[in-house]
Amino acid sequence: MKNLYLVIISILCLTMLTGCTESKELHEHAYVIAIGIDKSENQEDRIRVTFEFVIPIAFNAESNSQVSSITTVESTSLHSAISLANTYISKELNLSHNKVLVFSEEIAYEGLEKYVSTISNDKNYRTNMYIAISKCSAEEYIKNTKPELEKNPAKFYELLFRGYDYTSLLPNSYFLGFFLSTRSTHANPIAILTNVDTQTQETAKAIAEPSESLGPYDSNITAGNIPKEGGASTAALGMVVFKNGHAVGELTGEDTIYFQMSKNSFEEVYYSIYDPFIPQNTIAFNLSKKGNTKIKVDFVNNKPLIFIEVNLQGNIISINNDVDYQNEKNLEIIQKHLEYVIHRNLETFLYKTSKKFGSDICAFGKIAAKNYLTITEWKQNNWLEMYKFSYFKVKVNVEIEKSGLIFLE
Amino acid sequence: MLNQKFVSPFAIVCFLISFTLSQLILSLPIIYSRVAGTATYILSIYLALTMVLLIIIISKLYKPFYGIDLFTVAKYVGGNFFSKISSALYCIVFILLTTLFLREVSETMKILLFDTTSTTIISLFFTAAMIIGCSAGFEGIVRACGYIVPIAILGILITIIFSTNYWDVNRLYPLLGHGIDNILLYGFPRISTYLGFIYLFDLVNYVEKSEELNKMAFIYIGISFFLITICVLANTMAFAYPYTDSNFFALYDLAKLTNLNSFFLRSEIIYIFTLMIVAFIFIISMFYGTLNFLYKTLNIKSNVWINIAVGIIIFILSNIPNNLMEVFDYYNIINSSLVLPVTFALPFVIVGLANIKRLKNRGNYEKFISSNN
Repeated sequence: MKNLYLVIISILCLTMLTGCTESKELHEHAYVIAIGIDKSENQEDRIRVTFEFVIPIAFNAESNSQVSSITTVESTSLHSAISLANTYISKELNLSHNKVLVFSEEIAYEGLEKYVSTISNDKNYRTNMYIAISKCSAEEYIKNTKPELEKNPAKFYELLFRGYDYTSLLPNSYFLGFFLSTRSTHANPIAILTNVDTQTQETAKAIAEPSESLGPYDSNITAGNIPKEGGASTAALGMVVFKNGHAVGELTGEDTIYFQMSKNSFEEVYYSIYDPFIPQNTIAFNLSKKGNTKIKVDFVNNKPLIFIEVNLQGNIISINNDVDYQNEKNLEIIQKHLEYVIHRNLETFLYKTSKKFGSDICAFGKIAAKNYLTITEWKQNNWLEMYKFSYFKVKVNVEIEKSGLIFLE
Repeated sequence: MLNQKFVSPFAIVCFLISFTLSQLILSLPIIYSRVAGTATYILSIYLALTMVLLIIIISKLYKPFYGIDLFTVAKYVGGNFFSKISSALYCIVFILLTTLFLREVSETMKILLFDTTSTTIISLFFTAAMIIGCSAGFEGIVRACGYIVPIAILGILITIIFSTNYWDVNRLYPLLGHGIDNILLYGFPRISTYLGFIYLFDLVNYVEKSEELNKMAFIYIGISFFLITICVLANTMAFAYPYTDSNFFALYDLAKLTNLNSFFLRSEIIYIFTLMIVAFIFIISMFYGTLNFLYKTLNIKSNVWINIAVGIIIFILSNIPNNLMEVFDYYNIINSSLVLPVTFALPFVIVGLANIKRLKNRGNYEKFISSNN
C-alpha cells in the first residue's frame, strides 16, 4: 500500500500544474459571441473587425438594460484586432463562447482561406461556431441584430443558425465543416447567407419574380429580401457557394431545401405547389424525409453521372374545397405533380452547382471516391475539377399520407 | 522475485495497455493517417495480426526458458558480454523514448493548456513525478495502472462517443488509402505501437505459467487493437483525409466536437485529464525500465541519488529538440534505427540462438535451467 500511496502522491504533484499563475476568473473576461470581418474602406491591406460581447450582469437586471456591447477595430489581422480591442476593453476578450463568425460578401468573394486557416490554428475558438456571409457589411449585420424573443444574444444566434433543424431554408454551416471542406478533395464549402432586412413587401415581391422554379415557392428569396413587417431586422436565409476558398455565388432559400435533400440532411419544410386541378390555387404540404437519399456515382466517358433518389413523405396542409382529395385518382395526380415539381427544381439546382458554379457543395465526391481504390488514383482524377462535367439522373418518390382531419367530411 | 498474488493479471494487462494509450492520446492517429491515408483501420488490423504472430512465435521459442529473464538467456547464448550489451541497448532505448515522450507531452500540455508557461517548467513537474513515482517499485507501478488505465480508457471512449454526430462513413473512401503495398511496407515500423512488448520479458518473473502470460499478451493486443481502431476510425470519419494528415491533436479535436444540444459542450477537460494520468503512469514505467536496465548493465544496487541523476539527465536531454516537429523527427529516426531492432528483433535473435544452442548441447541447457530455478 505504501508504494501505491507514493504513486498517488506523485499524481497529486501534477495537479500543481493547474496552479494560480495562469488562472483567470470569469469576471475578468469579456465573452465574445459574434465576430464580424469586413474590408477596410480606407486601406486595402486592413480589415475591420467587429466584436459583440455579452454583459452578463445585465441579464439579472429587471430593466431593459443593454445585454451586449459592440465594438469595431481596424487592423491588419484578426489577432491584431483582438490585441487592439484588449487595450480599451477593461476585460480580456475570450473567444471560447463565440457563436458566429460573419464575413462580408466582399471578403468572401476575395477568399476566406487565410482567415479560416488562422482561426483553425487558434485553440480558443470552438469548432462548432457558425460561419455566415453577410450581404451587407458584417459590422452592419451585427449592429442590426436585435433579438426580440430572446434576451440572451448568444442564445439568439445559436437558435437562429440552428434553424436548419426545422426550416431547411438555411444550411448547417459550422466552422469545422467549412474548414474541412476548404481542405477537402471531395467537396466544396458553403456558408449561411445573412443580411439586414431592408426590403419592403412590394419590392420583395418584385424580387421574387421571375423564377427558375416550378411552383409558387418563394424561390428567389434570400436573406434581406423577405417580404415581412416586424420581427428581427436581420435574417439568415439561403447560402453562399465557395470554390477554391472564395465565394462563387449564392443560392436561395428554396435551393437550400434541394441542397439538404441532396446532402441527406433534409428534415422537413412547408412546401407549396400549384394545384394541378385549379392552377391559380396552391396546395401546401408538410414535406419530411421518408428515407435516406440514395446517391450513386458512375463514370461515363470519364464524366461523372450522378444518380440521386430522394424519398419524401408529405401531408397536405391546405387544400381547395372544390376538389375531392379523398379520391384515390386525384391524390395520385397530386402526388405525381409534386414529384415532378421537386424533380425539376432539384435537377435545376444540381446543374446550377455543376455547370454554373462548378462546385461540389453536396459532397458527391465522397460517394465518387468509392469508385477508386487508392488515394493516388483519386487525386489523379481531380474530382473537384471533374465535377463541372457531371450529369444527373434524379428520382423523387413522395408518399402522400392520407391521414389527417383535412380528409374528413 | 515478486509473488504473483501481489500483481493481478488485470493490473498486468492494464500496465501493458498503458504503453498503447500513451501513443494514442498523442500523435498515433496522425502517424497512422500519414502511413495509410483513409485506410487507417487496415493498418491497425495489419499491425495487430503481426503482433499476434510475433507473440505466438516468441512464446514457442521462449517456452524452454520460461521464468528466466531475457538477459540471463542472453548470457547463456553469448556470455556475460552479450548479456551486458543487450541490457545496455535496452537501457538506451528506454532513455531515448522517455526523453522524447517527456518533451512531447510537455509541449502538448503547453500548447493545449499552459500558453504562457515554459515547456521546461512543465517537464520539470513530470521529471519530479517520475523520480518520486519510480521509487514505488514495479509492483506499485503495475498496481497503479490497474486503477489509472480503466479510467483513461473510459475517458478516451467518452471523447470518441461524443464525437459520433460528426462521423461520416463515406470519408473512409478510397477504401485502400495509400495502397496495400505502402501500408504493408511503411506501416511495419509502426509495430512500435505495441511497445508493451518491451516489458513482456520482464513479466516472466511475475507470471508463473507461460500460457498465462500468453493469454495476457493476447488480451493486451486485443484491447489495444480495439482502442486504436476506434480512435483512428473516429479521426478519419470526423475530420476526413487529407486534414487527418496534419491534425496533431486528433483526440483533443474530437473532444472539442462535443455538442449534446447545448446541454454538454465541453469535454476537452476529459481529454486533458486522460492525457495527464496516462502520461504520468507511462513516464514512470519508462523511467523505472531505464533504471532497471541501467542497474542490470552496471550490476549495481538501486540508489536514490542515481535515480535523481538519471532523471536530471533525461530532463536535460528532453530540452535538446527545438520544437515539437523536431521531436517527431527524432522519434522517427530512433524508431527505425533503434527501437524496432532492439525491442522487436533482439529478443528473437537471443531466444532463437538460445534454442539452437539448446538443441546442440542438451546437457549444458539442463545445467543452465537447474542453476536458474
